[in-house]
Amino acid sequence: MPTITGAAANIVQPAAPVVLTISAASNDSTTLDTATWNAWNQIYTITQRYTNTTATTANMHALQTELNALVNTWTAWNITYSAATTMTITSATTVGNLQVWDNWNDVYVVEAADRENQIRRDILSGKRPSAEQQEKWRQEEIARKDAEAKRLREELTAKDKAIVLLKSCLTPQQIEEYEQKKCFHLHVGGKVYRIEQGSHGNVKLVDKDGKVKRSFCVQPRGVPEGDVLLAQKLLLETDEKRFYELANVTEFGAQGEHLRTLHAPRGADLLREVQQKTAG
Amino acid sequence: MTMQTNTDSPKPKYTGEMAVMGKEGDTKHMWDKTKPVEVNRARELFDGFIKDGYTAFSVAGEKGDKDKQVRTFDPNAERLIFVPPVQAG
Repeated sequence: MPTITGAAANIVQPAAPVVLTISAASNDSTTLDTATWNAWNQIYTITQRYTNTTATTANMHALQTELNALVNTWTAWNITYSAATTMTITSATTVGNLQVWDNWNDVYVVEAADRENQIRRDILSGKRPSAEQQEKWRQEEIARKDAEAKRLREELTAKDKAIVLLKSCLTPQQIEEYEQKKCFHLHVGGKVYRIEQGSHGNVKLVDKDGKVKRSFCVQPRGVPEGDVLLAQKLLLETDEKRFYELANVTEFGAQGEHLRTLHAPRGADLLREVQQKTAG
Repeated sequence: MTMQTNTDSPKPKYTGEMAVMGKEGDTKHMWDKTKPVEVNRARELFDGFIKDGYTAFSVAGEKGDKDKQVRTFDPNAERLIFVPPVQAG
């Protein structure tokens, strides 16, 4: 008796109902998207229903009928949306769902579609996937999970290394501040700057009450966040003028309202203004 | 052929360290200022990073008041940090 194994078990199952809004070129396309997503859920549910059960000829036939009824939707999806669709997820609780969608695109479309087709052929021919094939699928899945785990480990390592390097250049007070508030203060040229967690607009010139007077957007690209903060600190401390030249600088009013943004290298004008006022 | 380890052997000595920022975190390069080969290698690395647009900071002192940007390699430096090119936005 044929049994469905392998691919169905490898398909990533949404952990919760997925809310997707897909902006498409026309109403027809949007409708198709909705149908596609519904079809995905149905296909999965149907496949799951037959997973790990010893199938009879009758229920295999029923499964194939159901799958055939849905396959046109998937074909249309792949043809229509392989390059043209912009997907946005609007639900506030869809971080996990976004991952599901990524997994779907990465795993299912590329790999599992082949597996599903193979299963269909096997069902129709009454053939069960060979032990070698099942083992191959299992090894592929293990390799995929290992690669993902390795990627996560490396990402964590890079972030950790950057934090260690950053802290090695901070005073004990700055370290304490960073650990408690995720920011630290610098005193440069009689001014106080606050460097906050983040990478864009995260350097702030603050007054004695901590109110933000300016924010600066300048950073090295492609390094972990801790390295970004350290680079900003070093540049600011050793060459304030250059820091202003390199940054996009936004000025804020007394009530925190946006006054103006000067794009690099015009930020240096601000520093000159301050220095002239101080000298005057 | 087997490699033997001797727990009594002295640890590798170095007098200077470069930390080069990158996407995997920083990479460390060490040298001993008393060994010309190591100094030359460190100088080559230094010049290469500067040529690639990195900014080198000599870091000393806890408060950052002794930190400075450097354009040439000093074998006596104890700690250098290389920052990739920075840009606005």
